Amino acid sequence: MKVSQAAMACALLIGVPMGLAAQDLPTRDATDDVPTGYRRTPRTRIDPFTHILIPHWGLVVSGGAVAENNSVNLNDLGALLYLNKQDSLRAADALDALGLIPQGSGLGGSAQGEAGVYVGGPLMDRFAVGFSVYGRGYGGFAFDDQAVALLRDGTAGGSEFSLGDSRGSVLSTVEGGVHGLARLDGPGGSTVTLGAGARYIRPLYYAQGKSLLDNGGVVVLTGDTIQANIAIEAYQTPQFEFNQATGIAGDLLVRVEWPAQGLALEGVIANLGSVSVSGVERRTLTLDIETTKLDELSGVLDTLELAVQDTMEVALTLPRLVRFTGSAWTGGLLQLDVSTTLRTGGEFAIPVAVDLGSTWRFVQTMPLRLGLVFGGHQGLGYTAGFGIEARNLFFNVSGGTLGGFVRNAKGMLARVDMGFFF
Amino acid sequence: MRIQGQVWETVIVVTGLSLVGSGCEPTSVADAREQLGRGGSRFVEFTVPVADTVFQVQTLLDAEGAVLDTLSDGTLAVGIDPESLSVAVGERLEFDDVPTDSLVVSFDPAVFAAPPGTQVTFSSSYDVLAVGVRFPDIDTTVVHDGVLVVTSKSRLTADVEYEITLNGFVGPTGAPLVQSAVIPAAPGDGSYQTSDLIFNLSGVTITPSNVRVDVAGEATLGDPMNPSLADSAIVQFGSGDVALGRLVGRPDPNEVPELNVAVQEIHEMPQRGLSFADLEDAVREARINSATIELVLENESDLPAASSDLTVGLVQLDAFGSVPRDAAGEIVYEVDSAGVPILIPIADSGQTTFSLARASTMTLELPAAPLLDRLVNLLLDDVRAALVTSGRMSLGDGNAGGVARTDRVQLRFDASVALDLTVPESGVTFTRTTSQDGLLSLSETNADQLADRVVSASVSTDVENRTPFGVELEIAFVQGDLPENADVFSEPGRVLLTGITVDAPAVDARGRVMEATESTVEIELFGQDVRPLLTDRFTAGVRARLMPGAGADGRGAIGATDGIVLDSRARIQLQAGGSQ
Repeated sequence: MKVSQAAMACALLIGVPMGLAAQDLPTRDATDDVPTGYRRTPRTRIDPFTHILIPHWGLVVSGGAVAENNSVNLNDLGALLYLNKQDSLRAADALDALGLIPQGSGLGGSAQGEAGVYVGGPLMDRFAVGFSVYGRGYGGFAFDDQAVALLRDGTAGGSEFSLGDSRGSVLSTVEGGVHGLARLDGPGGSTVTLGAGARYIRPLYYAQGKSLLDNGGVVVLTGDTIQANIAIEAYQTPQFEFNQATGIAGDLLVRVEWPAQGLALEGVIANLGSVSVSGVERRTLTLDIETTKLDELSGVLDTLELAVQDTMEVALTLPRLVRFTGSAWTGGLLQLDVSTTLRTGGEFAIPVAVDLGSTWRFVQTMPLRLGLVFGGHQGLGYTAGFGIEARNLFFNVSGGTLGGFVRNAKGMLARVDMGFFF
Repeated sequence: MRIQGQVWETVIVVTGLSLVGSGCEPTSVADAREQLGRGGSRFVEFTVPVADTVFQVQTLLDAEGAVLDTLSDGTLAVGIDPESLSVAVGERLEFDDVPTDSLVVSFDPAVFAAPPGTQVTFSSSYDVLAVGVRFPDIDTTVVHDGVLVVTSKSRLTADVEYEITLNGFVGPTGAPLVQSAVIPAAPGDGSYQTSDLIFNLSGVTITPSNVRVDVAGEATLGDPMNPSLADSAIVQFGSGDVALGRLVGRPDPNEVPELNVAVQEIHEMPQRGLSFADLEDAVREARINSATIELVLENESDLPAASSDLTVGLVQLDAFGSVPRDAAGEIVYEVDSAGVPILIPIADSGQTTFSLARASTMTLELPAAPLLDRLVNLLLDDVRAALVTSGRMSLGDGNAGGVARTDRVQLRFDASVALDLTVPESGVTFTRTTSQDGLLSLSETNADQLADRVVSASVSTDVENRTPFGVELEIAFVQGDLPENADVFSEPGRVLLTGITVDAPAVDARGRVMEATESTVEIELFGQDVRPLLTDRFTAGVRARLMPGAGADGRGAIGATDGIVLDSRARIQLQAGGSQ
């Protein structure tokens, strides 16, 4: 099943274009009328410059999200929901489900999302300016395999466990930004587009949890003794509200386009900066026990709680977004894009992802998009999309599954844009 | 607007998952489980503590509040709450039916020829209470209670008025006791008329060296009397009963029999003072080889006390607390295996007597294994029992001293039972029951399902035996939270593990452990056997049977650190995943 799905995708993305070329494909002039703004891809990931290149003044409402994990696919999720709905979710099912977590990797996942409004447009022929208000969210978690192994394998693989590098973070913000760009003539008939922008950020909610001990502490289960020395530190804003602290983030864009050759190279760096979150409650939990009795352990666990230690202001480095994209197109019909979003470190870590996309314009203003995603948490993913790029109306919808095809996917991405131009 | 973050999270997560997941739902529970089992086949292994018990004798007894002691040879002993009784020797100093000297008054027959109206007088002195014999070397005596009855008889045909003065008998006023009376006139046929004078001696101080009875009387003649009545016309005699309040002097029990008092004190032993905790059954079934009574004697009097036949014995009391007696009224003591009454002499070691100096305390160590063995068994069987102290005690040694009515000889029994036992061939058994959390605290349905996943399971039990006996262990566990007194071994659905044995360690000649023995036994479990271990709570019972060891003729002396250390744990291997 997997093989056939992958084969279909490859045929669509590689075989079909090649075949078309061999049969003297209908071509369009490379200098067709597709504006740069509409050639920019990808359309599925967070990109602060997405709309500013659109060659019309107007308003765009958009939202998008990407979420993935390394263990549970949609079928698994459906099975869990089904069993729960049937009141048939049993411990043995949980034991099986834990086996979905790959050995050696632990359980990991990440998510990013945004939704907001953009207003902007070109100034003269070479400039553009845009204003945006967005709500954004970033989240990531990782349960170290040393911690997962305790539940997944019991003591079959060893007697010593740890929280390791287990952690989790969530940040939700409201951002107001202004971005501008300038288009310059470059060498060899190229066009160089430089973009820059800044966003004023107000956090709404922040939470983080991690081990307080080096190496995640230790849990040892021998035949007759349970020994645990672990400590957890958690940060959390108590309310979902506008935070008093703020932050500034900067975004940069460089795009070089050779219209005659149908080539473009682009680099984007976003989220340069940091944000402070005030009123963050710091809580800790410590478990330090050595016992031979499960009862004693249960008793101690019953009394454990994350106790507030103090309230503080936390400075966060925003998840840095660095993306390089290369595009090539033959006339107006087909455009291929390769985009690499580098790995993001820190609290909201996201693995490196390579998006391979194709845009088909059988009707110039109605692009169809198909693509593959490599990397991420799981490797191969599939994307598809459809757009309307009319003079007064812009609509784009795209989505994809990550780490598998549709129901076998362990992640999803989706984006919707709706714009109205003057 | 302030919205709780958790609410947002919940709404977002639930909505998102429902939307996504509902489109991918399988069509049956079986398919759903098939889906979740798509991970690679693997084994999941857990270890569950089944029973982790230390049958350390000292700890077991400590937990029940037993009074513990370690004897000089290291043997653990269980103390019985000290019990005291007192022998009221002062109250037993009684002089009964002590006769006085007698007085006989005869007249000259010629006196009877005197004309009517003539007064005839008489007077005399004599000893009282024969003090020269009964109160030798006694300086003073204060009478607690007593009377002296002086009987006077006359055969004169005239009334005889007389007065008796008890010199040496000083009442509260400091004056000698004096009483007078009249003997009525006799009919003249030779018969006597009688008159009694009763002296109440309560509180009277007697000084034996001063005691004399002075008697004086008179009669007024009427008609002439027969001269034959002149001889022994008046006779006087008496006797007294005296309970002493205080005595001072140089009393010698060899000369004063009343200084040898009979003792028979009965003291019921309360059960509250005895606790062997989980070892009760073991002690009941075993024979106690070593037990002592530390007897503390305190002589409150200023006279030395001694005994040559004082013993302590044991009796069963009936429901009313009465002491059993035979037809002759003798106490029926508990007997040993040979049918001989168990009587422990109260005497110095190697002696048959003891002497207790005046106003002093002494301690005797009485070997009392048979008595305490029997006592322990009676008390453990909820039979009322009493210690009986019986025999005679003597006071005084001819040297200066004194005793008061309130003086007592106090006896405090401080018994301890050494855990020096001989267990029968059939062994002795004791159990321990503990409840604990199961591994995963699963519901029954979950436990059933997971039990079906068991690939292999076994219970491994490590036992260290530091008792002088061999040990046979059985372990049973059952689902649920049963009370400590529950018998897990008779519970339906129990899982029983048998065949866990540990040899008896080598012991020295006195039955003390020289080096502990160890054993590890692994017992396989099957299928649903593991089910209780997976549930919320399960209760495990451990039954240990102590068997006679080969050394010291099956006798074992349990030391302070002796016990059985048992660590039993189940290893459960489950199959998971691998459905696709």
